[in-house]
Amino acid sequence: MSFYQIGLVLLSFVATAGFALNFKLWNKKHLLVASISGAAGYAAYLFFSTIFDTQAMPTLFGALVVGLLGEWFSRRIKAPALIIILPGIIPLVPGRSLYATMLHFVQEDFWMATDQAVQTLFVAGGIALGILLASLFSVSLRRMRRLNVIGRKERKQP
Amino acid sequence: MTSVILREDAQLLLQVTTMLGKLLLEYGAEVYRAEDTVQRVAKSAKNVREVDVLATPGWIFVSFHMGNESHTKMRRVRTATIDLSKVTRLNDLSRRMTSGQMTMEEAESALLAIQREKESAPLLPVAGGLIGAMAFTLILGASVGDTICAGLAAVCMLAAQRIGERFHVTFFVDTLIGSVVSSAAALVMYRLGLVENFNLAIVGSIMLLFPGISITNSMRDALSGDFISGLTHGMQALATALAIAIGVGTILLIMQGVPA
Repeated sequence: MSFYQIGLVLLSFVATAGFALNFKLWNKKHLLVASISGAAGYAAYLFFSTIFDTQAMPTLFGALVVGLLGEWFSRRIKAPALIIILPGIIPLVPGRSLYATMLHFVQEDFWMATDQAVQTLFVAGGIALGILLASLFSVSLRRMRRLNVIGRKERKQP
Repeated sequence: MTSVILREDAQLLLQVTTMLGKLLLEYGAEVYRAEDTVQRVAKSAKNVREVDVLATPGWIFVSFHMGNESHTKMRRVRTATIDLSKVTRLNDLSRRMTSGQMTMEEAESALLAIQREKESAPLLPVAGGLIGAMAFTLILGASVGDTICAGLAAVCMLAAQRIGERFHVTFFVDTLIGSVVSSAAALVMYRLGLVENFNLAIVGSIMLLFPGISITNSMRDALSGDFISGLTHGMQALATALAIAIGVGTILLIMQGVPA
């Protein structure tokens, strides 16, 4: 990991914290946890973008990391996972390609506009799929624990 | 006599659950989670059977059978303003209601208190927006000067939106005003020679308007089989993107028309 990439991860930490504040998340612990998740997700995105050529796959893995951390932290701080995931995915949001889509549409360059629109949709789909997989994983893990398939032995009464 | 008490209980339960769902949706909770929370709260009450909750981004229905009567109530959900601390507090509240630590009367007054509460620090979200926009612009690879200008444009945008909120405009007009103001601010700074890369400065500042969350939510709802919510969120994302495109596009056309 180069210094440039470490700088990017730090910036994504700051960006997540800023957006969380803009979404009116005041609690310091929640803010810290959300920012850590956002930075970790962006770090995963950077790592996987050296492996995959496309935009969507690294975004999927980044969102997966954000989602898993969000579900895990939300259990520990007893708050909804939303308050971590919503700011956490901000560094992954395809802002530039969405802007390029609009720019090309305004300039009546419809080939480029469609190209960028499809790109945006794929990246957005990657984010959605990552978060969906994370929440499915945590739900099925909880169910397996309740049925004593794995993990804790004591059974919780619902 | 007992049936009258039951009916009052049912009315109160309906009132509390629909209001809880409405507030959760208005402050930005996901649709399926709002449904789940309301369902849990309604099921935890005594003598209640056949609890059904139907929520979309625009409305919420709660229906259950209590005693020997059916009860249903619907609430409209107006445009959402994201407020994560209120979502957290509503979540805590619902947890206390489900575990029986709170009577329905207490819950109703607590919900009203959360709804009526004024913002304690109105400048903090603006500061957060400034920091977030600047950090995002830097991630995109802009220079320091561009970053500062993107932050200034973002602050102008948030201020304009704050003024727009007072007139209760819809989200479309709100986004339109925001995108026009931020790209006009970026254009002015570009003309003054403060900005090198005009596009990056705009992307950074209107990042706060982007419907990234609506797009993600819509895909997520659709993929988990909640198609009405998916379509609603998708349309909202499309309309928001359209508003941004119109706002930024107008300014870009003006920029091409006016010689430097």
